[in-house]
Amino acid sequence: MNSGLFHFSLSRRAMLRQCSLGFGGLALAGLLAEKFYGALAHDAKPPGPHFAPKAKRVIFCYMSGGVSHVDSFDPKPELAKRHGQPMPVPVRPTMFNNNGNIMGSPWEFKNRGQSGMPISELFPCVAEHADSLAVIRSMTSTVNEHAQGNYLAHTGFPFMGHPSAGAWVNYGLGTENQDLPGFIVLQSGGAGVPHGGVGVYSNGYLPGQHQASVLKADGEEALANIKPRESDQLQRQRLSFVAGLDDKFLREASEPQVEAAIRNYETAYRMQTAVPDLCDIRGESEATKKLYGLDSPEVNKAAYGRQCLVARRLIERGVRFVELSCLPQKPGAGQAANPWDQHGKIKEGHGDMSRQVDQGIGALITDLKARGLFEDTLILWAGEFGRTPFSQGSDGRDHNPTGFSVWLAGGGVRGGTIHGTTDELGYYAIDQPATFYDLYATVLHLLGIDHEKLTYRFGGRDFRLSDVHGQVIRAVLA
Amino acid sequence: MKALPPIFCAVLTAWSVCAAAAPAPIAPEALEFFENKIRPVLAAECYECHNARKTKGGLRLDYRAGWQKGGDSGDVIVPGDPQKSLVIDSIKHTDSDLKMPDKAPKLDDTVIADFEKWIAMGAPDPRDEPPSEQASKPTWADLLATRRTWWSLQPVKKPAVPEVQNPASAAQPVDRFLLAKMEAKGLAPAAPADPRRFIRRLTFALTGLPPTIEEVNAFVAEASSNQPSAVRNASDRLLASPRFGEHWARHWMDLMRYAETHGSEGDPEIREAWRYRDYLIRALNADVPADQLIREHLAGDLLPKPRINPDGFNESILGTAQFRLVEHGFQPIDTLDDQVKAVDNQIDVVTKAFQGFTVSCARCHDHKFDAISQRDWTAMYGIFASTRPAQVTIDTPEVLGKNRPELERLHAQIKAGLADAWQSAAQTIGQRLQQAPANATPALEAAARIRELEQKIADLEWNARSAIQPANKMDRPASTAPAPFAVWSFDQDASDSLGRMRGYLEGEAEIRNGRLRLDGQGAYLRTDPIPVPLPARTQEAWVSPANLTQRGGGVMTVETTKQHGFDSIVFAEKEPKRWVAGSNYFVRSQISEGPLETAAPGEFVHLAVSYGTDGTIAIYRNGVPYGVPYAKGEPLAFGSGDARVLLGWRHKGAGNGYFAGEIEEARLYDRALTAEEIAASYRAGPGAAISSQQVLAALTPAQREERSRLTGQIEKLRATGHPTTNDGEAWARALKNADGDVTSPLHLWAKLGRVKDSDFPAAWQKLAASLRAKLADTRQFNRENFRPAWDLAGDDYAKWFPYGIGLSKAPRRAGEFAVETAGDRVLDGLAPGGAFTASLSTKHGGLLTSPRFKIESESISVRAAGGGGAMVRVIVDNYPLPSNPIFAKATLNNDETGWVRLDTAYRKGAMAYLEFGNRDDLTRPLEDKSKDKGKAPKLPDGRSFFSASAIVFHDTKEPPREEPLALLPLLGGTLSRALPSTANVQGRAGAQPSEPQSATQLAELYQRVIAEAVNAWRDDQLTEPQRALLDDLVRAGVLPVTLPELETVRPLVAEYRKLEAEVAVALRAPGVLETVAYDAPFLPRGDHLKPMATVPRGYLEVIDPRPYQTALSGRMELADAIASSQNPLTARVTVNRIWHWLFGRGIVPTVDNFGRLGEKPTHPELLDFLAARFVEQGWSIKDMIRFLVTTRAFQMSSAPAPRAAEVDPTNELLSHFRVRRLEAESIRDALLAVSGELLLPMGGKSEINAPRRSVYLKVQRTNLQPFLQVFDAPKPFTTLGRRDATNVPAQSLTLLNSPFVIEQANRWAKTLIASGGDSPETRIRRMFAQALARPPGDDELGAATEYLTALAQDRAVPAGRLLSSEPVWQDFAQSLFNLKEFIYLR
Repeated sequence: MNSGLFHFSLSRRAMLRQCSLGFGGLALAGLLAEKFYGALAHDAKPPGPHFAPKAKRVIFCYMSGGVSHVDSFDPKPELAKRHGQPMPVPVRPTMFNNNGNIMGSPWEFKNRGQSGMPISELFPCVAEHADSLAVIRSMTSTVNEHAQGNYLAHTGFPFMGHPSAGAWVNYGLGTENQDLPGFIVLQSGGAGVPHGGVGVYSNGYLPGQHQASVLKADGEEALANIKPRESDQLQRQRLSFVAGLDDKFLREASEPQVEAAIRNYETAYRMQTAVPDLCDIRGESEATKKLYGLDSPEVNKAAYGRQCLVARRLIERGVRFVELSCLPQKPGAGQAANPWDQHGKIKEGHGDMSRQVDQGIGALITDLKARGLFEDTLILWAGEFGRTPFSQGSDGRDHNPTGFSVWLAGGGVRGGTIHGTTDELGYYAIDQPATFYDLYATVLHLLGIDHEKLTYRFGGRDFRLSDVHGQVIRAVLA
Repeated sequence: MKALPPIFCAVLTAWSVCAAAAPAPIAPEALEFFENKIRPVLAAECYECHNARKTKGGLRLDYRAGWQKGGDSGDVIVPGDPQKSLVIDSIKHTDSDLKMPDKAPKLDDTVIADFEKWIAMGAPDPRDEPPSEQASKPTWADLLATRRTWWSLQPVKKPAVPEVQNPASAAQPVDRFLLAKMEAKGLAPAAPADPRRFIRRLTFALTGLPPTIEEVNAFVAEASSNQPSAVRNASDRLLASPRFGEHWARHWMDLMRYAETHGSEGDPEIREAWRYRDYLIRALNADVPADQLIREHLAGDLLPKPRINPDGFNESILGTAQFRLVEHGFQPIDTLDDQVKAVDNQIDVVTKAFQGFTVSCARCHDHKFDAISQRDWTAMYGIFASTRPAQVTIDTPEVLGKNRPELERLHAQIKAGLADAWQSAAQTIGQRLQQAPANATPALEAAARIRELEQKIADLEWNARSAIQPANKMDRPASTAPAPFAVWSFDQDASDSLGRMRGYLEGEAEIRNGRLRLDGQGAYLRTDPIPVPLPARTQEAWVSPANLTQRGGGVMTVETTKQHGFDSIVFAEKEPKRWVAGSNYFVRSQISEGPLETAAPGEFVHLAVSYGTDGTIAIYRNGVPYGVPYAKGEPLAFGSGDARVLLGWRHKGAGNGYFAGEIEEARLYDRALTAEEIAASYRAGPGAAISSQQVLAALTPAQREERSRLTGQIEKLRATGHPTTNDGEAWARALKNADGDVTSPLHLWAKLGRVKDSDFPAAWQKLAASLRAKLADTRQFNRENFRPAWDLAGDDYAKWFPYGIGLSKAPRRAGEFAVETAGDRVLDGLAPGGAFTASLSTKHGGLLTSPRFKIESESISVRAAGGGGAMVRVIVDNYPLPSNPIFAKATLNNDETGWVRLDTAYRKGAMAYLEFGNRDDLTRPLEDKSKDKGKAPKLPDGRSFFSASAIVFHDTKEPPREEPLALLPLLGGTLSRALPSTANVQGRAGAQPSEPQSATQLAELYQRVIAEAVNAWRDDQLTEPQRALLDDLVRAGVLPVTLPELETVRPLVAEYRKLEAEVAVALRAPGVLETVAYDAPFLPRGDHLKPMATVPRGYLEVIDPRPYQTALSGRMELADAIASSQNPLTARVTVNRIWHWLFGRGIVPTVDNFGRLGEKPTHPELLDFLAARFVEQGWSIKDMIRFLVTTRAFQMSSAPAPRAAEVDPTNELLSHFRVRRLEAESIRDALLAVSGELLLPMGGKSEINAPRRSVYLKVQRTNLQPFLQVFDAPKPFTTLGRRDATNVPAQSLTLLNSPFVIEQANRWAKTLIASGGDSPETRIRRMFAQALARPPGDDELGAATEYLTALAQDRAVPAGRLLSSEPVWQDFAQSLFNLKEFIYLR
């Protein structure tokens, strides 16, 4: 075979083994030293960070469908008092227009940690870390349906076409790992894409390398087309042959794009081993697996826990932004796209959903702390809106975009903080109302980015993740 | 900030103060210079931040003393010394910390030069006094004055072609322009490209496909003798290829954010959006001038002379589909917000695509940089917001009006015949009433019993029929005809008449008149599994295609159920109008030489395909061979129960494999028939496989006895004298029902018909009084609770907007009716006055919309009827997709007129209009899968109808009560106005009757009143009570309404039905409707909840400042403004796009932005030269492409010319050709083309996945095609004139591991192996030629041979078998797909 093509003469696994530095150190001799994912001519150098970051990466626990804030992080004793009474204020139009009376929370709130932060029984494991959380109780959204809500919560705009936060972060900071995408959405079990489709993870008008890769944490084929359909031997033979011809083509064409495309094959070749390896959790200790609930007889809990564990493995390997996806539960819960969406039977549905995610998220925080990663990893927990303080039908809650809770934890976040308030019924944010623009301004700030300076020109306009809005929520900063 | 020495600052400041105190007089020329060159720029660029209110940096620039005082960082203007003036540094962007204007592009070099000159002049400035806060804010007029001087807004002036030093190397004007710039930099153009590379470049650029080996060779041969002529010929050939339109339509689709769904939750379909894609392909292939195309995109529905397609539809309307390709939110609560976003997107796309201007940026504020105000945005918003989304009909009036005069004539004759028959019937009504049984129950029971017995006989015979042995089943005229294995004759049902396999109708398939009717849109018949393996087979069918333009529909298929394999008689799959023996991936298919099909609609042709065990396949049409028999591929094999028959569908999963037409009979044989047998079968013709005599003969004695027993019982029942005729039964039923129904006109008789004369007057008085009171109460209730909105039977109809051939210009008179298209009944009932779409055909479309109004009531009720999925909807803020309960709408699924309430409480305060529409005229019908299933079934041929007569507003939860008006003619009296539908009802024409004194007189009264009503109907003078009366009697069937009762009408109806069957099913497409327009309010900061004063509709002030005067939306005026040679942008933007698509980079690289945030043209004179030429040549896109590809520039090598890399590293001067990656679609298409899989039928519904050109793949917003997305296909949300070409590992992973790519490698290998070849080397050469359009170099050949040898070793393939080893060649094929050269163009 063509002996000049040394880099395909090693097997995928051998290559990994030889590079003792791990993924980050896989830069091959003869290749440009640029960071591969950011190596396109038009943004060779990431525009950020603008100042010293507190966090280097983000794990986004997206609660698709909308978690009821009044049942989780925003206790409203008034609801119990007025349970069954009509709303004292006019009810805004709702999605299903099947509005009942005030409904008290079926869950009890307890004060947690030294800070005494009240968190309901829905999230006992997360509650263990109350002193590390900064809960924003005054979140608002401008849209009241899932697809637009998902787009807004991911991109800052309620329609498709704009880059997702993960893409912005990667664009802003570049990647730390040449062999893995910088923005990964994890799925497992029956987890699906939120309403609106994969467009919510889109790179929008940012260069394509910033788009999310959807990774099945427990799948047969973790990433689309990652699995070679032939033996390594055959593939290497082919790649060597191809490399020889490509080399000639490159010399004739002398075009940097072609060179990048050639290097791209090399990366792809390595990813075929790197990606399955990172999903391969056999090397994790039993204690770790147990911590994340992988031994749980509840299939969805184990599956979500696996996402949490793989998320940790991803950030260890320098992935910049990881988003986790909830799985649908059978009874009472929403569909794959919006599993928290309990328009009926909220007690059953939210109960199921919280059992699914609580242990994994709690374990993730515990594990990150134990490994010293918590200090520079930002965890963001949010859905697209909250749920109404009054019932839908007899036992559900409709969408509530006018006031709901999200939380941040980790690098640069002041733990034990409660920011903003909703009214006594939890209907409207009344004090320090916050928007997704504010939230992302804050996230970017923690990553060392000035949200007003992180812009991208498209179609004659400089776009931002925070559109033309956004103020850093200083109260949650450490 | 640049630091100035403090002393220097102090000196300057002192000087400034001094100067401020005593301004020197300004010379007139200096004053003029300041006023013309400096003041406008200061106002437009600087005042906003440096004024009384916002003294950014402590600096004011809005009057002289302001800048004389200086800013926080000292002095900014040093009169007389531009070099020391900070302002010059800042506007030149020499200091990275201080770039002015802030967050804006650098000022034009000429402007900077003006400032330098001005400062050098001593900075003369007449602005003595500080302006007021208001005045120092730059006005829009100030800004516009400056901004309108921007280069792209200047008129296009055709420049002279420049002189060059070396004219020999640049004969073409384009090359002169390019060369002039190159020469200025001491560059020369690169050498010409290798001819093979050039033809690959040209073929991909024009058609998006690789050239074939033959095309390459032909070109190379021709080019060797005459390169220019070879290039011209190749360009002409490719421009004439249908593939050209497919490729360039995709470019255009990028501009129009083409998608077939609206996105968001549920991702609802944009119905028939693919027709717009096909329109583009046709238009580009036909070289429709670009100005015409643009005009059609804006106002194609309004053109006085639209383009008419030879197939009989209006092409121009299809352009307006682009307005409908917007995203919509999912069932938005705030619909106005959704509308603002959608219209903003329309503005964005139109202005970017055609003007290279970003008007959408001015939604919330005046544009930051360009000559676009927020008022401009609002003026355009008014145009588009006034335009209603709709499904529009694109057929010409001629097509839609097929048989219309004849149908109208027949309709009138049928009406006259009915009136005659009813008049006669009326004469005997008194008698009929008198004879009516007192108790109808026994008669009705007898009738029911008879039906039961008849059913039993039918069951008995069916069992016997199924039991008939196949051996003696045939009863056909020619005894030589072969015996089939199974026969579908459709005499009874969908099952095989020989009883082997039951059949099931799917989709809208139906059996009528002994034929299977297939709509080509999902209708088909499938059978139970074929019980035995059929290694040899014959498939046979008598079939009539509904049209000959359809493609790829399967008539009769045998399909395996376990794996993907099928054999099918397919119409026009590979070639138009030609039959083919279709098979999975064409493995057993071959293009036949049979004649093109010419069968007229309704004409049946006989087709048979025999499949031998040896793989021989023979096709026959009308008994004669259709091309020659051939053997290809392995015969389709399946075991018992592993296959089934499909009629009307090519195979499961074939998106557009449905056949439209009728099948008279289909047969399956268990062997390959001979040519003689097939000819005999053709001659024998289709026929019932089993005769009734055979069935009788097949009955067992016991069955025969049972049958005669049942027959006897029926005869006995008939003999009892019960009125068991249809007519008698109808009377009995009507009177029985009337007894308990106080609204029925027969109620009086049911209650009083048996009353003794002596008791009658009192009984009459009592009943009449009670009924009158009831009527009065009902009317009072209606009057009190409902506010009349529109009376569509009256003048209000003129305020509404009827659309579609089914709707008349004026309201229809009461008593309109539809002739039933099948069955015994001639008509169903009589419609009230108003709108009615079905008076001639339920195929006729109709969409009726109201004026725009504000919803102020909790409910709206409409008096309407409808069927076939017709709906009434309250369209709020033009949101076209309501499906949730929070949108008021209702399916009209009642033949009989009644009130339907729409709950509008949720939408109070919103602007809305009402819409009545037939199913296919709706932007989103409620699908059958909804809970309405069964209630509103989709009918074949898109049949649907509605009638509408009145609309009321109310706040109650119940709709108006039905007024028992049908009684009124009998009770007498006149009623005052109540609701619109029943306005001023009069009891009876003529004088008041006296009250009946006996049952006999009552019968006479009936007779007289009905006769009067029939006369009034005949004369079109029917009052609403009379209509109600007749309608009741017609529906009850007590007036003659069935064919057996109507001798004279019968032939008319037969003729009517025949002609009606020929009425075209309208083609619909996404489009827009004009109704009445309104000006939109100005939205401060874009907030739609805070509307301010309205802005007249119009276009950008900088282009055309006149407000539009039209009562319509203004799209026509807009089209005139944009598709104009006077518009400075349109031609420039369009030629620049063509340049970009050919050369990979525009003369203005930011192809969608010719504003200040865009890049400036690298060759402005060339751009103008091309724009001017484009207009001169009639906006011909093909001419421009031909002009450009025949330049030397397009034919240059991609190898950089000497010095190019240092002088012009980004190749702005185009001294060599730009290497670029193929677009996503071309990569996919090239894979398919090279593998031999690519199918080239054009147009039609989109496919989810098919080996067709990628342009035909469905674009679903929330589920975009992964393969195409990986290679940067656009996300359809706005105009994208310049695609990215990213490098991401997902691309490599796709080409390495995706099943699609591997499959193509496999198919290519198979084809190569099948075609033989004498050595690996010839095959390698062939593969290089196919994939790369060039032969391999010696080194490459060596490497390839080495690689193949290694592969053969790995796979243990002996050398002798190498040429036939599929795995080896598949690996090698994929290696060529993996070459960068495969996906790059140079």
